[in-house]
Amino acid sequence: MEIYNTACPRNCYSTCSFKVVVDGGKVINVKPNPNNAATPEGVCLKGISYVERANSPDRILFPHKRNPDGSFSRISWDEAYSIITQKLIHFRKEYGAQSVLFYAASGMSGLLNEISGRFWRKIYGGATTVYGNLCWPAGLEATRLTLGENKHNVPWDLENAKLIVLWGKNSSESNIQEMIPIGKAVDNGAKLIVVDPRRTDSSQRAHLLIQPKPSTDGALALAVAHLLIKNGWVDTDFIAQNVSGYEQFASSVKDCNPQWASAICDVPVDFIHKLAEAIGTIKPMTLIPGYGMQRYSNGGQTTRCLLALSVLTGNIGKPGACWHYANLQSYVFDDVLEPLCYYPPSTPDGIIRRSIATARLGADMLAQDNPPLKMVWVERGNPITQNPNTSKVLEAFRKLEFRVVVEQFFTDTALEADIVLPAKNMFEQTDIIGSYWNPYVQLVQKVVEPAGEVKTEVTIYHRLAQDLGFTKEQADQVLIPPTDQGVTDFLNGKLSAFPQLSLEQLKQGPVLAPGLEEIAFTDGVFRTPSGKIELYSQQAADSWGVNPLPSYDVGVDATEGSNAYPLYLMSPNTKNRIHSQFGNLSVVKMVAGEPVALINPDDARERGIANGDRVRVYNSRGEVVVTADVTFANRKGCVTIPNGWWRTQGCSVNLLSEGRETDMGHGTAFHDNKVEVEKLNGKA
Amino acid sequence: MEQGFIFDYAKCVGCHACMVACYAENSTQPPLSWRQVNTFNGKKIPGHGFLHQSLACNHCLDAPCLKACPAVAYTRDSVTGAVIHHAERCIGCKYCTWACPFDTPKFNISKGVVEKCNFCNSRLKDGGIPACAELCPTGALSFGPITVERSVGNIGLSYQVIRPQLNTLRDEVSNSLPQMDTAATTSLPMDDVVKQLVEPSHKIHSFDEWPLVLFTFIASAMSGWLAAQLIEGALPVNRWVFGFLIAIGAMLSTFHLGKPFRAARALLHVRTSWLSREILLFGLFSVLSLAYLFVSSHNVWLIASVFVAVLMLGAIEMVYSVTTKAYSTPLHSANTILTALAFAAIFASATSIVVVTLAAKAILYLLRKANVRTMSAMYSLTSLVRFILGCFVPMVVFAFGHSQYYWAALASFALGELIDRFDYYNDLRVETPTHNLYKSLLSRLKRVK
Repeated sequence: MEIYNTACPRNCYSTCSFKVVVDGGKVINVKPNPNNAATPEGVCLKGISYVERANSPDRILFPHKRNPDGSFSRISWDEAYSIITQKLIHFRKEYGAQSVLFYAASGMSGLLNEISGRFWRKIYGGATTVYGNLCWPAGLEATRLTLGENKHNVPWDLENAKLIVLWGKNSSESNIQEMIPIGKAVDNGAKLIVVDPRRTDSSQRAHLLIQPKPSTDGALALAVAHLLIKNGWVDTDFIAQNVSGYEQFASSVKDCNPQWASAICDVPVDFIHKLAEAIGTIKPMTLIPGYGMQRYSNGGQTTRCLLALSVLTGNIGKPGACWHYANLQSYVFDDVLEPLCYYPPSTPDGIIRRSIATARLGADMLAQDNPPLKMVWVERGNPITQNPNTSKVLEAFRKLEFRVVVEQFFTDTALEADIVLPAKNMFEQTDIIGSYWNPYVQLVQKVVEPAGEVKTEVTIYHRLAQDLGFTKEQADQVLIPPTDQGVTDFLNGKLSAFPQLSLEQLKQGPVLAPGLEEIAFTDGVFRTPSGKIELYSQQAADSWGVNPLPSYDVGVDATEGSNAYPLYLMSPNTKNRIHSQFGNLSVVKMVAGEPVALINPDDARERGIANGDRVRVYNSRGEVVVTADVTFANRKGCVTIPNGWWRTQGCSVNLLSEGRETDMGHGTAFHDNKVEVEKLNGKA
Repeated sequence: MEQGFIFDYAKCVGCHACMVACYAENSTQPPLSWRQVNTFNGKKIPGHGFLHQSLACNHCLDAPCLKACPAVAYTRDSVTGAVIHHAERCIGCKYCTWACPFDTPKFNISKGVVEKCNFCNSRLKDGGIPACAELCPTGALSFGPITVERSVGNIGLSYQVIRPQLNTLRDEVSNSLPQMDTAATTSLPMDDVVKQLVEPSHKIHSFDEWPLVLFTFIASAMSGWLAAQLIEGALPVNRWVFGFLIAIGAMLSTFHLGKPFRAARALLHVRTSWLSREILLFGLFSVLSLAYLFVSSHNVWLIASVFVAVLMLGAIEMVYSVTTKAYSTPLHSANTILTALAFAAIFASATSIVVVTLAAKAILYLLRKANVRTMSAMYSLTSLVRFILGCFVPMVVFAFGHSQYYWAALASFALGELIDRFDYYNDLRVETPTHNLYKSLLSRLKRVK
């Protein structure tokens, strides 16, 4: 029995360090690694479920080919390579390399993902790819425009806060380990405020819970700003020294009084006063905005409104005082950081056509011309489930002539493939990851040989390069040699820029990122055009056509001009999955149960719906049939269906969402979404 | 000092990692789980706090599972204190799942035996701690010396003094309540809010337990029939019918077990298990009564059989003492001793005793039904049928001396009693943390009202 240090490479705040126990070439258990001060007690349920995931009988261990009846048959690697190579050559010859869409998402982080890009650019000679991102760009861009960079204090600094505002973030599900320092702060007498349409588990020990209507948080924040200024609760010294555009901002919120916001947000005026008083008078404050709130068409501006509260009160750059959105300090290996790396190039290079917005994947795929798309290669992603407007994405996929999906399990996307290639898991290849929350560089270690006939992407691309006419030496050169040594050399190359880091050291556990500022912005340096914190941002207006000041913009008409869909649909992440991963495991099913829609008792009663009824949730784009969970955890007028269930598990919530971009950053505004719910009569 | 689980309510966010850790360590088969996470006010009723509660086995120093098990399938590890269930000794009677107030032993239908948390005993012996405590990502669940018995009667936990090795911290978090605008969540009056609560389903359902219903009913009837022989003019016992009933009883008590071929193990724990005693006394009753019927009609055999029958019925009643009762009458109208008495009176055609016992049963029955708040149409109809068959018809027949309807009265009584015996099982409650949490919430809601 051997024990290795490793880290979880999922797209998740926590990015936990942990130890994996291996026996006889199998992953048999996991243990916590206390050396990561942000995740000292260990991983969440998903991390522990790797014990099932790594050994699951459902895992894809061989290449598969789709039969005409939709079933899949195992084929040899030689057959898979031969079919794929023929298609690649055919499409490139007939239509050009850009007729192939290379789609990779956030299913597995790591530096080796770079090799895939090299293959499509330098071996195949081009491809079409997507720009933008499903997750967090609007908030990143809002923060970048205002503060110049996306970085924040280390997670354990939360213990120093006297006021913590969880605004649209439900750490108890999406960032469980963050509840440790929050709990310690509350134990030490800090106040906890939660702003969320839902009464989440994170609000258990909160002192104040404010439940605005979805997408109206910007108005609430502006009213708070109005009160901060009116009551003299702003940090004038901090503003004088660090802030540009205060005067314009102050005059723009003159009319944003609590009465105005109350009418928009459906939050009582006295609660807005309470929120403002806490933010204005308790220092230091850490404001933790979530990512769901910025997945609205007004998401970037909403984030700027919230950030203005941290700026006005001087809660930046001090212990316990922080704007806790994203901490990219451990992304030391990237040349271009998020969100800038999401933007399409201003002048296309003629090789990679970056012309499809992730947010509009289905529609944009269908709209591609000269050449039109003929083939897709998907890795690390499940776009049929996770991108907005599933029907449109499906239509676009089915219109293609050929689809390759590299996957560990038969996801909704894999089921659409012509060829499914078995994907490695995190225990089968060594890689290096950062985190957007904890400040460590970490090693994901190879601890077992790939199961069955699983091959890593590095190996697959290396072979395809040779099948496309490159010699082995050329493939080694352009990609990397597909061996453990090749991977080691590649990673050592990356590490060579940082004398503080080495593979040997990373094998011992997480290492704090070189150059880390435990308290971000203490130096008062803000990399904005003015060198100051920009409440007024000309760049925002020029780049995105938004108000240069933080403003409340009404979200797009999510009802499409109809009153037929009166309920806001919220589709948050749950602790049970990372997006659409983990939900297929038996141990996660035991915890997560069947797909449900959470509905408020008032709304349920109006519709004759009782707890446990089968209900149809629908709008003009589609419908899902789920079980009603009638609960006071939802505010009135809101329905919640956690995202990530597959269609084959009974509910793909993105059948209901629309593909549109956020106001800035090329994010995805799939949360502007309204639905109606009705009881299903006798046809469940 | 004893070691056990330490659980801090204020640190638990309900993430379920502990359940998955248990699965990973012990290879349990989902959805069966040795550990469970319960909630208090999981529906987040405004004006009230909520909490999560992670529980597995508390390895009580006075473990009721260990005492109740008739097959000695439970032992205590003298070094670690772990209460260990040995699957290879388990007969699958599920009696321990009634005896434990923490809902710890779980019946695995596919294996036909119970299984439960073993404290990760091998880890303890290696100087480690249980997997769930090691892997709790917020530090809410830990393992260490048990210092205070604060867990007794703590929210959701039993008042039974069985010395669970569990310390709970900061249960006051259930009262933690943010200032919030309740109008954002509901305009329903509190009465309607209370109606939104769904009572957790009960462990014991009469139709699932039909072998026990029939077994205890047959035991009462046979006891009554035999006892009637002490009185002149009673309906004589037909030895073949009686032998057949004993065979049915033996089969019922055997084949409802998860492991019928281990049935003999049920006799191993007479020292503390009422179930062992019940089975032993049933065996003794069978031997004595068959001896009386087939070997020697000497009265010694009869008196001995009747004496053992009384003990057997007493043991049957004691078997159910581990449950709580949903009725408030001092005796249930389908109490086996009372039923046996009525059978004895009817078989002996002792009119006055028949009238008195049936009247007593009728009063107990009506008092019980008077306390039932909501009745479905089906429930009301069944109750009426049971009353007419079991009480009214035989009373009329006997009180007015219509002896030509004797057989009809007997059959009517038996049928009515059988219905009532089914009803008895529906009135049995097993204490569980889920039910306790539900009751706590209900009482808080009513207090506020």
